[in-house]
Amino acid sequence: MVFSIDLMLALIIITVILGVSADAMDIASSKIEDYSYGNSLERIAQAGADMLVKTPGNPENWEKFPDINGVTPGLSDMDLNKKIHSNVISMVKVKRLAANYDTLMGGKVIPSHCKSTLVIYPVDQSLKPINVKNIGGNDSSTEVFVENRTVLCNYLNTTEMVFINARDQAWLSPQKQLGDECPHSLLNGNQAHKKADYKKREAGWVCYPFGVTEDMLNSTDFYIMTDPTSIEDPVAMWMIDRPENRTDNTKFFQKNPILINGMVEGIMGTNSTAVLWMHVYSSGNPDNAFNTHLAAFPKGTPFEDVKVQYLTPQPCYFVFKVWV
Amino acid sequence: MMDNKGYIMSLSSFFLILPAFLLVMFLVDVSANEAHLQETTLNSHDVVGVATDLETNLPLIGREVLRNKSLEVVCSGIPLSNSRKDVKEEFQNRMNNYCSKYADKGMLVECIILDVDNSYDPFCVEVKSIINVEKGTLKHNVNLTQNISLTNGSFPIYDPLPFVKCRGHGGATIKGERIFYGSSLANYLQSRGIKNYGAYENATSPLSIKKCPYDPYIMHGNTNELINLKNCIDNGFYHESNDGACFLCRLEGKGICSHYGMEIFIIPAATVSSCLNNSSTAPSSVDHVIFNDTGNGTYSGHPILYFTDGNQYFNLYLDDSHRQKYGMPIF
Repeated sequence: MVFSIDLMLALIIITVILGVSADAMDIASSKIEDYSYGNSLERIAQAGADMLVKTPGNPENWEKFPDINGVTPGLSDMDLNKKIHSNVISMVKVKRLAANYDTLMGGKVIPSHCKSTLVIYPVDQSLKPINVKNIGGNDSSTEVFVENRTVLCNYLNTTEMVFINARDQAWLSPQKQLGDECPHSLLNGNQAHKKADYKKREAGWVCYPFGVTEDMLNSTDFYIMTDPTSIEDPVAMWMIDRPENRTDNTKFFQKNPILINGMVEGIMGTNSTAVLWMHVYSSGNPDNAFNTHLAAFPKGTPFEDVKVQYLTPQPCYFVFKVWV
Repeated sequence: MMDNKGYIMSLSSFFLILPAFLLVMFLVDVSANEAHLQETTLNSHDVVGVATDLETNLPLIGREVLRNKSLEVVCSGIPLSNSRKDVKEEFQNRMNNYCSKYADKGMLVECIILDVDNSYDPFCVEVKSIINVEKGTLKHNVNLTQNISLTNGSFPIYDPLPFVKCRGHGGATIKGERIFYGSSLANYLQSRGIKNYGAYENATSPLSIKKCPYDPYIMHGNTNELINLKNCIDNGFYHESNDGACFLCRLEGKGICSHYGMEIFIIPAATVSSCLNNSSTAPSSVDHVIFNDTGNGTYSGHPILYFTDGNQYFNLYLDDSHRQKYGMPIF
C-alpha cells in the first residue's frame, strides 16, 4: 500500500516544516521590505540634511531673490570672497527657508510624499531654538528618521567691524605690531597716537579703519565691547573719529557693551559713505591685555543678546525629522 | 528494511526541506550584506572626510606657494617665465606630498591642480582643482574652484614687481614694511630715456599687498590737506585698477597687463624746500605708469603736495586721470 502510516507521519512532518518555512519566509521578506524601505527613508533624511548643511543652495545667494521658483535651498554660509563654510549655516538663509519651507523643501530636498520638520537648537540654552518647521502629526507613522547634526550658526547675524586681538598679540605674536598707521601720527605729542608695544610694555594706541555707509547705519546697531568684559587696565580708553575730522575725545570702556550709533552718525555727518577709525589706548602691559570688538548687530537686537560670544558662529543642533 | 515507500518519503522530504535550506542561505546572505553595507558606509565617511580635509587645506597651501614664489622673485629679481604654469607646478608638487600621507591609511588620494589664474577680484588668485579619493571600491571626486586671498592671512604676500624692474639698476632693498629704491628707480627710468627721472631718486613704495579701505577711492581727496591720501600712503594700501598689473603678471615682471589688476603709489623722496611749482613734471607716481616699459606708457604728472611738516615737503606726481580717480583737483 502506498498510503502507509510511515507516509502519513512523513507528510505530517513535511507539512509542519513547510508551514514553519512559509512563516519564516514571510517574516524574512517583511523584514527585508522594512529594511529596504527604512534604508531609503534614512537615505532621504541623510541626503536632505547634507544638502541643507553642506551646500549654499542654487543659486548660491538664493536668499536674496524675491522669487523662489527654481531655487534649490542650502543653508551653508558664504563669506564675501564666496568661500563656502561647510557646516556653518547662514541665519538669513534659515529665516528665508522658514518663511517658504513647504515650497522650498517638497520635491527639491525631500520627495513630495515625505513630510519633515526642522528645528535648530543652540547649545547655549539662553538662546531660543529656531523652529524652521515644527508640526506634529507623525504619531501614526511607523518609520520616522531623525538626522541630528552639530553645526555652527551665526545665530544673531552679527558682523565684526574691527577686532583688536591684544591678548594673543601680548603672548603669542612674534614681531608684527597691532594696528595700522593712524591718521593721528601727523599730530604732535599725546595726540600722535604712538603704537602700543606689548613686548616692551609700552603704553600706546592700536588703531584700525572701518567703512560705514548710510544703509548700514539704518539697519545695524554698532557696539563696542571688550573681552573680558571687566578690564583691569587702569588707563584703557577708546575713541572713534575720521581722518578728515580728528578729535581727542576719548572715552572709558564700560562693563556693558556701548552703543555708538549716535556717535557714528554724528561723525559721518551728511556723507553717505565714510571711513572711520577706531583708536584704543592701553598700558601695553600683557598681564592686563584685553581684546576690543567693534561689532554690528542687526537693528533692534535685544541688549541682553549683545555679547562677545555671539560674534563668532555658535554651535547648534540641527534636527531634521523625515517621515511619510 | 526500507521498501519503495521509504524512497518516496525520503525524496519527498528532501525536496520539501530544500526551501528551508535556501531560506537559511538567503538569511545568511542578507546579514552578510548588511555587515558589508555598514563597512561601506564607514569607508564612505572616511573618503568624504579626506576630501573635505583637502578642500580646507588647498587655499592655505596655495597661499604658501604664492608667498614662496613671490619671495623667490623678490630675492633673485628674476621674473618667472610663466607664473601661472610655475605656480601650478609648485602647487601640484606640494599637493602630491600632502596627498601621499594618506597612502598609509589604505587610501589613494590625488589632487590635480587644473588651473591657476586670475580671479574676478584682483586681490585673489583663482585655483581650479579636482580631488579624487579612493578606498577599496569606493571612489569620490570633487571639482573645486577656490579663491586664494593675497591680503587676508597670517602672513603678508610681497609685491615682486619693483625687484624685477630695478634688477640691474642697483636693486631695491627692503626696510621694514617699505621698498627703498635708492638710485635704482631713477637709473631704471634714465635707461629708458624718461625725462625728469631724478624725481625718483630715493623713492619708496609699499612692500606687502594690503587693500585700501578708502573706497570709493574718490575719498582720498576729501580734504584740502589730503589727509586720507597721506594715510593711504603711510599704510601702503593697494588699489584696484584696470591698467595696473595683476599679481600673477607682476611675478612675470610685467608692469601692465590685460587683466584687472592693482596699482600703488611710488613715493618720491621728500624735498627740503617747496620749490616745486605746478609746471614741473615727472613720471606719474603710479606703479603701472612708472613700470610700463612698453612704448610710451610712462606719462608725466604734475606735483601735488600731500604733506609738509615745515621742514620737508612730500609730493606726489599725478596725471589728470589718476587725480580724477582719487578725487584730487585736476591740473
